[in-house]
Amino acid sequence: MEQHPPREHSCSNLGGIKSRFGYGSSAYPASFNESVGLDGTVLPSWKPFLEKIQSGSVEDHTRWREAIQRDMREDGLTFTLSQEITRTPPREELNPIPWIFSSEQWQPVEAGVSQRARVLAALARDLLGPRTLIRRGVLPTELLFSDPAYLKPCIGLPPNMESWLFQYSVDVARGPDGRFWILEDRAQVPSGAGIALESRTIMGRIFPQMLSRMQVRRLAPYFRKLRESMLSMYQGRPPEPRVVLMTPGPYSSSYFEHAYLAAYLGYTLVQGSDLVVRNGSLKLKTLEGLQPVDIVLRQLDAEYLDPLELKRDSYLGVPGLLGAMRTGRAAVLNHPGCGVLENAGLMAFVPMLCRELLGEELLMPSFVGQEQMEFSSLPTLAGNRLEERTSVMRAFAFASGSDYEVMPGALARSARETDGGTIGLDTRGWIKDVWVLGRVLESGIGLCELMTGLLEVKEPGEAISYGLMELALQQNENLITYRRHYRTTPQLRSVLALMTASEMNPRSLAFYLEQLTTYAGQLPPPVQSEVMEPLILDIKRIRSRLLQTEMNQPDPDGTLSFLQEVRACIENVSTVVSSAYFSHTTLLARENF
Amino acid sequence: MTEYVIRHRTVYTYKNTVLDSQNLSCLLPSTFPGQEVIHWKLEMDPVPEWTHHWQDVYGNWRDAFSLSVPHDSLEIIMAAKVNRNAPLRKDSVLPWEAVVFTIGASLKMQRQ
Repeated sequence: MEQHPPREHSCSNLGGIKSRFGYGSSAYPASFNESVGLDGTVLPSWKPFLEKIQSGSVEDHTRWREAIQRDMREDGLTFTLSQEITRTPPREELNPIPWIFSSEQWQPVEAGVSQRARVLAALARDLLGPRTLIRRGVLPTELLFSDPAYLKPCIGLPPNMESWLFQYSVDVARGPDGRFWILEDRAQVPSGAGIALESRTIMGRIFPQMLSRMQVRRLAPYFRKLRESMLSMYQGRPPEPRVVLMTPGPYSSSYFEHAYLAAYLGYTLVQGSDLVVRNGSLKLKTLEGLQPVDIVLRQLDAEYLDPLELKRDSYLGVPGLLGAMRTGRAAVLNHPGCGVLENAGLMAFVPMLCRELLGEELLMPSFVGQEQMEFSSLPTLAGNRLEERTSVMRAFAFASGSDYEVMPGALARSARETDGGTIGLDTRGWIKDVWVLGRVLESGIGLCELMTGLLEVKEPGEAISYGLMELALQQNENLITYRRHYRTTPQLRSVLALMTASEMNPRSLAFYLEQLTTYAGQLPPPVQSEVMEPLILDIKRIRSRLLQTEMNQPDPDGTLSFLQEVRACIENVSTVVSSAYFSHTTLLARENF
Repeated sequence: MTEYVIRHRTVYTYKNTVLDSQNLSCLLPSTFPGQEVIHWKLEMDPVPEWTHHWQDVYGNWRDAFSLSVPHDSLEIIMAAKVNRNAPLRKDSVLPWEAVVFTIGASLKMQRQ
């Protein structure tokens, strides 16, 4: 593929998004710009945000940049992903333009990442346990036994967790074929999750309305579920295991990320010297004496964990830590043997392993080093101009039962210069937040369910409690809005009005239905517009009824049956869409980026 | 059948008093076709507060132990009684490359 010249867009000129932003020339596949569809127009998922940037003045851009720099400085966060230990880590800057995914675009990423995590977890279980894949000659002995990360003391070492690979992260990028490709598996330390979280916090401060208006999926539930899953999958001492986050220390370039993550998750941040093994059990040195520790979230490579059995000259670890796993039920996450999964030579075997271990075809292909491939680019604010930058992304997942939960977001990195052919997550560039938009269909159905629940609880003649109304408002993330608007304890009439007919409320039924008409009207083939049009008409009809009807308590049955109608209407669209796309997933992947 | 009695003594002396130590030893002979360990004993001075005995990935017996009494020296004595079908011959030890070759060939044959 020939090198394409850098494209620059003056922000004041973004009105001409269609002609200036898209690739008019046939020499460049339209797939190269993430914000532009195949027809050369800006994708609906990107439109509101790019319009915001477009309407911003040069002063706004300066203000955003200064806010980012101030926040980064105040949080003490140095943005770097390299593992090397250095006193002066390079500072990297968050770019105010995120990578935006519609829920449909995100689905293949989510499926590909969680499947790969399942393959690697099954591989870890075998390589660190019975090693039948080696015995049967499925994997070459030379490849594995020459790998220094295949730590022999870790073979047969019990994980004390239901999973051999609790956290997984992976660097991916979109190739010219429209598919995401795996660049590198990260099975030791999923570094970058803290930076993703911090980037989101900063973005939330700069664009508070954008995040809620665009229904960007929040990251907090991911981390909450991670904590819950970790505790429920731990097989040692119940009921409340003590978790620590273990860092190599302040000289590590990722130290601030470790501190940030520990504070966010509510875990004690420790270095090796804070821990000690006594009678085969892991303990934390505290002022009140030695306290038992059950789970160690390690942020350092496995070879440094235990100088007794691994790297002898490591001062970062805890002597006897592996012994505490063998006898004291300590869980070290990820399992110290997981480094072998990062062996680049294994990449070529993953499709076969996926069939062998899971009985599935691999969804996301591996990028093999020799292949020269250009990745897609993102609109990026460089100075006061919008320019395109080649970008890659690190996705995160954790084990939840036998499956994996993928973070609805990620950490992206864009090349600093326009000539970004060699961008990787370890090279310097812009940090970017990754926004995954919520599923409009699901939100609408969810809200119908919530309101039905609120009204159904009521016994005849009995008033619905304030607490229940507050709970419903809270679950719909409307409690603060309600208080600001009404400044009273909840009244059912106003609560229902806010959650159904308020066009200003981005979490109202009216708002969802409005979005649904836009969404349904823009669906690319194979959805037939003849099939869609009557459905859109239905939505519009029910929406205008919604705006006219006053939902009220004296007539709960009427309200309930109306809610059922709304729900059925949304579900009709959902059924048509999923049946049309079910057999066209490849096409969908191409059409929707 | 030949019976061997093996005794192995290790002594560490330290310049400074050691308050806390984690240790890992690999001193015991293994049992395999042609060799049987009848009896073994591992003794430490000072007496460790905690020990753990297990077989590593190669089948070697490992013994981990920890001490948290202050000590200036550590003595480890291993004693074992082993039965062997044939006496050990010095020239029976193969060079490493030959071992790798033999194992590789036998793995290949197993697969076929």
